Amino acid sequence: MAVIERPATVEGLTIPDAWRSFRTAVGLGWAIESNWSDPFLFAVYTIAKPLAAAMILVVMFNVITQGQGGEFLQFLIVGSALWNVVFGVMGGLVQSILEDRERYRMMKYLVVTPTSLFPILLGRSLARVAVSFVAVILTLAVGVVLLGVELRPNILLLVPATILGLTAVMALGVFIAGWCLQLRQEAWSYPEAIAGALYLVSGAIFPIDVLPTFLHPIAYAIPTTWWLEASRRGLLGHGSPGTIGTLPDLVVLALLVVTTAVVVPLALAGFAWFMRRAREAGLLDMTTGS
Amino acid sequence: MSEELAIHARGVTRVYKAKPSPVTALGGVDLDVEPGEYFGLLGPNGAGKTTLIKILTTLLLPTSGTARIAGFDVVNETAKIRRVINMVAGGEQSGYGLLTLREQLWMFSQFYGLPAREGWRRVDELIEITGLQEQRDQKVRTLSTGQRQKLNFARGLLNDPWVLFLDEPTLGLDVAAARDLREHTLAWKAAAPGRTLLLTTHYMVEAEQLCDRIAIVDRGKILALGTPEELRRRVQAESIFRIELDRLPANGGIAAIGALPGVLSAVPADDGVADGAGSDRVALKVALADDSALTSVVTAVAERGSSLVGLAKSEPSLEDVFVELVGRGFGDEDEADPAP
Repeated sequence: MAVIERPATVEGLTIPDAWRSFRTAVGLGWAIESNWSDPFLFAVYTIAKPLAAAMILVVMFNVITQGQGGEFLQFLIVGSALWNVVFGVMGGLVQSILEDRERYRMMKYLVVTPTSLFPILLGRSLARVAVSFVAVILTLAVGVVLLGVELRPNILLLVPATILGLTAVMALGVFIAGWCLQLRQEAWSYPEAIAGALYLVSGAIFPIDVLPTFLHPIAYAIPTTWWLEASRRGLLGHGSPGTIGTLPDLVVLALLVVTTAVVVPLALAGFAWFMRRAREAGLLDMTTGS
Repeated sequence: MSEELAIHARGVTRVYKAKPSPVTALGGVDLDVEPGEYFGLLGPNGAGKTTLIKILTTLLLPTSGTARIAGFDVVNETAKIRRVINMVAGGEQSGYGLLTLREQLWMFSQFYGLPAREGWRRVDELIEITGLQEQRDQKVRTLSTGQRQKLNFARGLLNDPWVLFLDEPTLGLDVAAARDLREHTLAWKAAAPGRTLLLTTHYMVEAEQLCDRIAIVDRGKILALGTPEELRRRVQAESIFRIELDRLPANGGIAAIGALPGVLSAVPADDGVADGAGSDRVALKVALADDSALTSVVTAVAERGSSLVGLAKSEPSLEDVFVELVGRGFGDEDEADPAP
């Protein structure tokens, strides 16, 4: 009869483990995200809601400018469309971590597997990211067809901007997810509040020049500002109105690289710190109730 | 091969911040569990059993003290510990309800690093072992409590852990489901010696049935530790037998029995005559230094013209041990219910 012994060497987390866990978590995330019992509700949430938000802005803008702000309208539509990704990523990451702890109560079983919670979290949230990109495409399509937005895509700029921007936004989302792990289950609404604050200072709907001066350093320090600017140039062929629009494309891209390179390690370190703090406080398997 | 202890804990304390004052869940626990041992932590709710399991499974940091699983530190070597352990907790409704039972197990097989094909093979094997074949394609949300706990148990065996932690695994289960789970646990042990189990429970029968050694825990401290037999001997050093005879022994009677070597005392049992009015039958309560003295008692009884008609060993229960140690029963703190 075989006798079980502890293996002489025991590995920690390996890259193949993390990759396998990520892929598996993508499947889980999709199973959860696509499990809307009511397809109508799913359509409203994923399509109608972001479209309606963008259209409200457009109507307000047209009333204020009396239909005279064509170039600014394009700025508004692209910013509003892309911001769906920020809401989707941040909301998805936080929802994943809180659902696993509070609703499915699987957090403790995930934590005690040899894989890290980090790839599972990223994989779980990817479905929300995919859905948010659908909202981006739909909002842009409505802008082109109904509002006269002219797209002149520059793939060489758009692709790296999208990859870097998504990386930065996911890093911010991971940080917020770690933070929300310290909080009660009502924390699901926090990412919307944070994304809303970033919405104002990242130049999504206002050019940075119109913000109060004390907010300018913040706006220039966060990667979402440079992601939006690079993406606008990659989609429209020109930059935003104001100072930021006068910078060369390469400078914008370089600033996106730099700010992302700063944010990602900080966010990962923050997540690791939050995880340790959750272990310290006994929050990993806590069900907070509402 | 490694000679490491399966579990090694020294001075493990855990204090929870709480108002109006901090709560000490563990007050300096020392524990060594050998590889291949089935070890039980027995105590009422709030004794600190689950807190200790959480620390040993890397879910919670100790406030002070050290603990090692298979030689790895629970604070800093979590990834290595998680390779060799698994955990199953009872009394909960966890699970991704929208996945099928088979899908959920496969998902965890991937998180445990099994290759895809090997994962499916292991999943199907565990489904069969736990008797969940009929529910294999059922959504988790449609499973009964007992079926969910079997699924949970199967998940706990996916990586064939070197150390398995079972935290109140039969809590809330009906009698049949709890018995099934205990049988699965024993079968897991029998299949390959060397596997280590740490079980927490407040069911005496469960601890006795499953565990080689038991620690009795209360208010964050280990009060006593040993085999079930050793624990009983703490409250009753001698072996006590109830002997029923067809008549009183001649030639000195009960006193002669009491004077035999190895016999500590021999007195009429509390219930006296065993067979109603008019009968010569008599019941004795005989205390022996150890069981081996029983032979001379039986021989002496026969030599004195009596016949043995009944023999029963009287043993204290683990609850008696707990009462002796703590001065109260399980039920004084928490409603004591029998093992399902």
